[in-house]
Amino acid sequence: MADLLQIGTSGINAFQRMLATTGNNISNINTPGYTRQRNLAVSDQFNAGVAGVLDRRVLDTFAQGEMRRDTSINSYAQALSFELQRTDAILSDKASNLGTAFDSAFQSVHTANDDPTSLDTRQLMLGEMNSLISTYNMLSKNLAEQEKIVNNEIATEVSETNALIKNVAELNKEVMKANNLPGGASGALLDKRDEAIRLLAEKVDINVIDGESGGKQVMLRNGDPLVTGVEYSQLSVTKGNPDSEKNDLQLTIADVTVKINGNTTGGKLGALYDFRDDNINEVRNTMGQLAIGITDAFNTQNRLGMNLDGNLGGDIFQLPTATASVYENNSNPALGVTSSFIPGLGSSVTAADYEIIMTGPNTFDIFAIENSQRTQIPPADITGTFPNIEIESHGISMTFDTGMASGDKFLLQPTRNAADLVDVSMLRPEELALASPIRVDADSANTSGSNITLESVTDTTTYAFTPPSGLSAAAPQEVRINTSGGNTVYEIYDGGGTLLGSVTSPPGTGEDLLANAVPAIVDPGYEISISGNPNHGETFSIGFNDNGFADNSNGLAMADLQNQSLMRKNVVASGDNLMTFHEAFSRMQSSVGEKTGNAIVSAQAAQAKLDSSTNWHESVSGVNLDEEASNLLKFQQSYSAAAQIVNVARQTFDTLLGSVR
Amino acid sequence: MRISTNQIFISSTANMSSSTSAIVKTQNQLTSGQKYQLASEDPTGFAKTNRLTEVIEANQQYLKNSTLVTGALSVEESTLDKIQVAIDRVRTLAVSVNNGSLSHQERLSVATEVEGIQQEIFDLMNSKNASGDYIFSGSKSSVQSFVKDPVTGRYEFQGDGNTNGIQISTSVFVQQGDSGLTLFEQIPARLTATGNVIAGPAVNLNVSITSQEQFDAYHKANYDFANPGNSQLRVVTTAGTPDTFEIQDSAGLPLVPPVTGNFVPGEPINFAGMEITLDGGPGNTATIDLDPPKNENVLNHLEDFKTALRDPNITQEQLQPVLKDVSIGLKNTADSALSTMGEIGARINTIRRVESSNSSFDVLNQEARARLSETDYAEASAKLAQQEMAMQVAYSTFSKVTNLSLFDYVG
Repeated sequence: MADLLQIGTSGINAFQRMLATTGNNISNINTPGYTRQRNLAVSDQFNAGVAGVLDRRVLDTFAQGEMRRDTSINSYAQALSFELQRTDAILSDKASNLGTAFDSAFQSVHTANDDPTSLDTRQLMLGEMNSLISTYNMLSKNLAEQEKIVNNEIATEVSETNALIKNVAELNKEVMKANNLPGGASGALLDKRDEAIRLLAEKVDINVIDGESGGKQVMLRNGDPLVTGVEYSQLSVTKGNPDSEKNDLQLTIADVTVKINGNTTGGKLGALYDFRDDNINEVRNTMGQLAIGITDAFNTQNRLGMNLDGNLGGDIFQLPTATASVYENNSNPALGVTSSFIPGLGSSVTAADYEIIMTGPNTFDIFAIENSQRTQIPPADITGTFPNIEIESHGISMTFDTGMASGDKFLLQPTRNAADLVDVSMLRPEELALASPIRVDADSANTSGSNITLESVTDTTTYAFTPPSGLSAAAPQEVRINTSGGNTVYEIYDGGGTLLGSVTSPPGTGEDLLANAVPAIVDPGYEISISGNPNHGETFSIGFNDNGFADNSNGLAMADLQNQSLMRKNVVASGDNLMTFHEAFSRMQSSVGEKTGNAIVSAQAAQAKLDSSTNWHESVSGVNLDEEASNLLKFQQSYSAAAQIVNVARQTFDTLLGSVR
Repeated sequence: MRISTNQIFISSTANMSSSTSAIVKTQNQLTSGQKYQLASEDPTGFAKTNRLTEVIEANQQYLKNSTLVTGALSVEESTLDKIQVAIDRVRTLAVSVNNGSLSHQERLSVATEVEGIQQEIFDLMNSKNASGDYIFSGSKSSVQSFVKDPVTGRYEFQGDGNTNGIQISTSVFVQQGDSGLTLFEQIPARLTATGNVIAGPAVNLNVSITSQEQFDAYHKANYDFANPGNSQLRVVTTAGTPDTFEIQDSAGLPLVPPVTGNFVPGEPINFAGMEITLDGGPGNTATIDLDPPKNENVLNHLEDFKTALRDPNITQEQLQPVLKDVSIGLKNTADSALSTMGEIGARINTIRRVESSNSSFDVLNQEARARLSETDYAEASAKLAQQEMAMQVAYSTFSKVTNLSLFDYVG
């Protein structure tokens, strides 16, 4: 029989619980990850009244799951966009703009050309070269600094992730224990675990599935388990192989350690790995390639001229060498490979990394790695004898240590630090070689008005030059005209008066006499032409440009480097594969700019998606104060009503007692 | 759809913060004058702006170069002008010596004046520019262009024939100067002929050139550079009634058409602008060699002129060849200076044309760059006003929306 007292009491208890829950909701409105709770009242089947009240979280697991996924994606997009924006800012910075530095450097060459003997303009030119190198150094240092910070951040993120993983596992344990007790795990505990999982989702991309006894299993995107019931794994960083500065990731599960590719983890950690491995690496290599290209071009041109000391020019810049990183499993980690850049082949240098795999103590395969593409360098391109080899099509030469075994691997990154290490080696402005090393003159007794011109100087290391200044006796130094045979014969003599060869016109002309001479003259590294109709007996002399310091022809060639295509576009050489320095810098800047622009857009999209799924989740699980206020009123009234029942029950009992007495 | 209280706050705050960042960005554009600060905001625009900046800066440099070259060329032009004026004065003097018979004293005073002008020309040929470089020495600019050899007394050129080009646009180079080699050294001297009696009785042979133009033409047509020996004429005088002379070629063969005539000792034979006079014979064979063409510096001509004038024993006939040499040498040098001045004028014209075309390209490039990268102030100011208004609306609606709470009305 229904007992009024008991009915009322059950109601009171129920409404008390409900009021408490409403109060709980209101108090926890600012608790992160709080899911609002409702009470399910269950009517008593046998007696009347409320049998019990169950606490339930109002939760849509699909909404929560989607929000968690979007959290990971958004974390990835924001972190990547942030890092790329920093790189973009470094390259776009107007104060240390490479484009401006190029322009200033070439302008200083023009100014020096206007007055080649002036020390002031030479000093200015040397100063601008120094300033160009400083700009490179500074940009490169900033990029290296960013890479280092990202590496450190990875270590920090890993330890934070580990703490979160451990936290989830412990909460799992609590939940599983609590599920064995009547009442099950409290909403607060479940919320705490969900929040811990959400924080974990920010770090890495995870999958969550329900396990036994209310526990949750958390796995990485690729399936590696992070938390299984009460067991958990821990991430750790190890020194990279082969580049020890680039940390690798590994996962330890129950004493078994497995290597993970950091790029597959997703979330903030994945973004840091992607940035470090794909983006910043490329930018540093490209900047190095740009540094080598321009310095090698200037060096080569300077060596083709004569400086203010009257000597053949030397190098302006010093190009760096690189040492390959050694892979861990090599037979002897003390053995390695070093590389340097072949002078004069700066336009063949690529922005690729090179992987060298030994196939025997003296034989090897080389692969060029650029943009994640791996191409083998054909053996025909590799010249020289082990251990000193040259790859002219890539502009590098390598020296191997001896005693390696088959299977040894090395990673060579010649351009990675090049922009950092390139330096100005020239100290005195007199050493800038603005003048041509060769002087050509028509003899003053010539009466026909014919002119001799120096067409080009292509090589000052030939037999014709005796360094530091002067032509060797065997070099072509005089042209005599002989018209006794009815045609014009340009006879070419060396410094000792020996006839080397001659050109007969017709059918020949006075152009490019040294190349067209019969018998053939070994290329002395320069070329001359004679124009006009010279008379018999006229002589033209070719000599070293002693005292010819006001000449600016080599300086003009140096200024023209700005317009020449001396930078290689791609590793795969096909068709027009060269561009100018300015184009190369623009290309790098706009490629980074484009990637950054895309990353910003992706981040915005990810944020919008996250906002939308958060809204969905919030609309289901979030506390609305107005709703709680009205619930408060409702339960208050219900409580008063139930209390009234108790009162009535008491009154009926009192009445009954009163009537019996 | 149900909205939680937190959502209200979060979405309002998010909107306000994005409005703020939009305003800050617009403000950046206004204060810096640049539409984009980073390459990521407009990658292709940035690349194009880079390229345009490179071209604009190069143009500035070319303009500077043009100014420098124009300056150098003007200096050279005025120097050449002065030299030409000085040469004209000497030509007048030479004519005056040629006209009358001057006394030795008068010749001495002319010689002094010639020396003065020679010194002036020497100084002008050794002109230096503002940096102290000799402008006519070619690329040996620290070496004095012309010096007088103390042993031989002849003036020599010490520079070389090189000239510099200055770049005034991407593909236009202008020659900055001219070398003394082509200007003053390679100046042709007067063409002459030398006569020798090789057979027959001893006679005096006089070969003088009366029509230089005719002789020059003959010389040019007949001088064999390869075999100078072939550039020879023979005059054979044969006794007979009457006495005849014949002019033959170097091999002794008659010319085609043959040149013959009656020979009278002492009477000049006219041929090819020459007057050939034998004062004896007949029965002589004489050779007339066409002298090889040579170059001579005007300073050396003036030196020879001075020496002749100062010689107390020189006769008017002996003075003639010297005067002729000097006149031709002066004329050729003056011509060379004038034609170089004309070239300089042409170069300056080229510079002006290229400068003006560079300037107009510069304007176009600057415009293009401004369109790509500079802030449109009108647009940005309007945008700023609009964003400000949106911001204010966001603020006021925020306070309205967040002030609504049931708790204010219940209990």
